[in-house]
Amino acid sequence: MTTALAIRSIAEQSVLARFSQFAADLPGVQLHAGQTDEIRSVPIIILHAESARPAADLGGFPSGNFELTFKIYVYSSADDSTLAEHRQRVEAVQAIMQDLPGLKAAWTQGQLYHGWFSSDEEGVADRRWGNLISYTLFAVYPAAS
Amino acid sequence: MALPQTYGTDHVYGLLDITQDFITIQSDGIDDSCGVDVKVLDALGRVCTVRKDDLHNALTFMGVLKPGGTKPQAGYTVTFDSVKYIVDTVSNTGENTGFRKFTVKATKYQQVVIA
Repeated sequence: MTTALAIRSIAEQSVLARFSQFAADLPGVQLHAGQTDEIRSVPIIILHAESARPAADLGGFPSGNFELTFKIYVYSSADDSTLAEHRQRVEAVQAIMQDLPGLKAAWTQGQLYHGWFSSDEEGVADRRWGNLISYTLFAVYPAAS
Repeated sequence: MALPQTYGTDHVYGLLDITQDFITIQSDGIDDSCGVDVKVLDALGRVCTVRKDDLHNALTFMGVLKPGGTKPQAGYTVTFDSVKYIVDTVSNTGENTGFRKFTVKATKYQQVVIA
């Protein structure tokens, strides 16, 4: 299988595929991969592979291995949702991402080696609850066919 | 007035051998030394005669392990940059936030002919 997408797109599509399996646990929540110019409504979860860089361990020959900073934005309307409901969504996001074997199985191209939680920041602005949850992921493109 | 010219000086870059099939090599090094290193001192303790012989080429290379390929074993030989060495030690190490690393230390002895 050859690589059809760049690593950030692969990561976003893979995480979206995994989250889509849990749509029933996130009722009424839009799932969105990557940046968008669409009109969005809350509650929404945005899955964004913010940056990718060659795996540092491999130095000058990274051979399609990457370290990614993956950010998940969770937004809820403070008019429609309580903070507790918003935090349940955040908890669901963390639970889905914590299941690494499940995420690896949902990876669409190449391989996810490993990933871990980096940070969770919460804020409120313009009557929206918002959380930014960051992960570090290590992945590789598919082998040449 | 003409612009000053840009210029560069080339240097030796990178690794001696990137063909090992079991790792992606990250670093290498060869240290040469003499197994025979005899000094004769004169009456005042100064070195007046030196005999150096029996050249040893000590090779170290390290890389990130690949799933396939044939890993060298201690006591066997490894070919690096078209030269055969006898493997002294191998080290296979890992960590929970990175790739597994494999380090080989090997020596070529002046008087040992490896078939």
